[in-house]
Amino acid sequence: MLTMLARLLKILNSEAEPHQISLAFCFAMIAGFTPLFSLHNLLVIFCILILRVNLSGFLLGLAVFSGVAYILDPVFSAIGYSLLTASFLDGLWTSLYNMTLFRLENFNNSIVMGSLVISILLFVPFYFLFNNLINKYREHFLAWIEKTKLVALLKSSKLYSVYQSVSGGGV
Amino acid sequence: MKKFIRLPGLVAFLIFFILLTVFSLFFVDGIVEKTIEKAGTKAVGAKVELADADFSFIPTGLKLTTLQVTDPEAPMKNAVEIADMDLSLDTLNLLRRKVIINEMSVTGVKFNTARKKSGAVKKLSKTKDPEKKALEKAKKKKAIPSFDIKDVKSILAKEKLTTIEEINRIKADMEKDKADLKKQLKNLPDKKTFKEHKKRYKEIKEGSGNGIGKFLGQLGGAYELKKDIKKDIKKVKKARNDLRDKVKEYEQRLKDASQAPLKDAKRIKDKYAVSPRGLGNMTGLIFGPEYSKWVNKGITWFHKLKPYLAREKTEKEKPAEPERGKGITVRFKEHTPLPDLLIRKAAVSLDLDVGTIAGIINNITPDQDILGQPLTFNLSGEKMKGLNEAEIKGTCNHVVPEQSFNKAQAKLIGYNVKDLSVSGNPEIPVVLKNAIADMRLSAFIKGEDIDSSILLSVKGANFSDKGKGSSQIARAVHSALSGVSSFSVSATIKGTLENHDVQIKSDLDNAIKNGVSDLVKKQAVVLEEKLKKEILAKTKDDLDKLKNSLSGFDVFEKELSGRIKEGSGIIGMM
Repeated sequence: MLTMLARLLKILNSEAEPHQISLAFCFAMIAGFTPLFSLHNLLVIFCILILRVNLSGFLLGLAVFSGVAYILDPVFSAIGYSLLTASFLDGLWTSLYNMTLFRLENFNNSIVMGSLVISILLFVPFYFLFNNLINKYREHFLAWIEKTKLVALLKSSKLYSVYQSVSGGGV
Repeated sequence: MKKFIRLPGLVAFLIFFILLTVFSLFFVDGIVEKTIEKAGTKAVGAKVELADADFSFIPTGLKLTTLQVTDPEAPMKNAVEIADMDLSLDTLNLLRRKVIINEMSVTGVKFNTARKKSGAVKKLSKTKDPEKKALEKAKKKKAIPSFDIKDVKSILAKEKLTTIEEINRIKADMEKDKADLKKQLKNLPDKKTFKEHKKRYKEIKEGSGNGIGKFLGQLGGAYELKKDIKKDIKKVKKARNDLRDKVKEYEQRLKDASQAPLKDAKRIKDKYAVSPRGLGNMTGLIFGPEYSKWVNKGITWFHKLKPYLAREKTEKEKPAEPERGKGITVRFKEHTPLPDLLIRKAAVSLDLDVGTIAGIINNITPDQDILGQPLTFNLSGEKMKGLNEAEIKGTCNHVVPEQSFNKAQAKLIGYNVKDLSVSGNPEIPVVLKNAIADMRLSAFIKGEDIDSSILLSVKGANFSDKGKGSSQIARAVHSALSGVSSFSVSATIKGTLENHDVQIKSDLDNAIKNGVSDLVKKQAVVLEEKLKKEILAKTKDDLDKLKNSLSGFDVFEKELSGRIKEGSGIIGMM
């Protein structure tokens, strides 16, 4: 837990552009919410490697969103099942079902469908939300946090030594 | 553009992809092995183990080595052990998550092989095994009648004796009759009545008046008096005759009561001793448990295989809450429908003790309705060690799920039987030391209904002496079988898979019946004698008392005779 908090601080305080971190979190949301060994996650990995996305942010986000996915699993399944059994979408699903690529994707599983749809729907809003939050943090909180007694206390604590070890130096 | 794209990422992705492929190639065998073991164990309810799985990508195929399926009822044995399985898979369909095996060869199939370690797994459900349940039912239903001589005292403690009941009835009737007679005597003409008649006679004799008038008056009076006396005598005589009839009746009832213990002894003997007629289906009693065991074992395995013959269709109805993280797989109409799992042709070779039986199984799939073709099988073997011919063929037709049925026929011709236990009944162990047997089986299962028959013809039979001395019945059966060299046993199994009846008929019935009936007769005679003795001892005192009590009626006889005599005396005087 301490390591995770230290990593988050490092990412937020790094030189990386806010949109790189936000994009990493959003891709992590797709990979984390949906079953890891899904075909679309290969595309996610391709994207995070080819695009200038903060990789540490992706890995951290993946761990967090995978945990959240476990809690939301019944919700994803219910949404996915409703979509897959919706009569007006039957033609679409039947066409996809007959394509080898989509069968490999396992889209007809309620959890895959539910989690993928939710994460895609949330992708853009969350991108802007994360962007906004990071900018606000850097503008208003970064300097203030550096000066707080809490950070001073933290710097003398185990957390700081962990942070030092992952950051390889000062802030 | 460079602000958003990093070209080295492409190289990184390629490296990642290559690593993923290498990883898959490296670990795919282990993953396949574990998947088969896990799914098999779940389906069978006992450990399914695989020594090695070898998946090849070009051409797509799978080779499985030493597959062991534990017998759930005997965890130290494998129900089936398969040396090698070679599968050729349809690659394109595999990408569509469909396991289509065009050809499969299964060699070195052995049954009931020993295991080094127990293959038991923790049972998830405590539901009673249908095989065990049916066996318990068969045991309860077809118990061998006991041939031991029972404890007579304990039998009599449970049984009502008609002798005692009759004694009590006679006793009560006698008491009532005596009381009635006492009352009746009071109402009948007695000494006082006849004294008055005497007095009247004296008065008539003395007469009143004179001459002819007196004479006529005396004559008229005497006539009236005689009439009255005769009337009274008649009443008393009737009562005496009734009494004599009653006494005669009691004498007959007492005579019958003294014979009743014999009737009681016979009735109770008939109830507790095995009668020769009751030995009608001894072969059913002897062979029944073993046959039931085989039939139920077959049904248990049929239940286990059923999900692989026909998948339960859930239609569009929402299935039960899925396991966490698994989700629900929704199926859609396919343009060219194919089952999820299909083995088009399996060449199977069974390595039995007698030799190899080989053949083909076609269309193994749980989705016959999608394939439109039923599963068929035909396996045979010839001129084996101790078996001339073996054939098993049949079909499992679930193409139209509502009309699905399973049909099988099997024959074993010229099977050299050696030390085969044909009786599952521990009271009468019967072992066929050697013989030549022909067996024909036909089975038909539609829905939950089963209709099956097995015909076993045995020649050159030689029964073992094993277990001969274990009980009287065992000795009798062994002695009866010692003269039998050929026989046939036919069994029919009808009912439902859960609740069926196994009826067994055999020409051995007569031989066993004759051999055992002597023993049965002797035992019955001994039991009857013991019962007779005990019942007589129990009822003798009461019967003697009743006989003495019968003499109590003599008092009434004397009294009534005395009154008649008195009345007759008056008439005599006139």
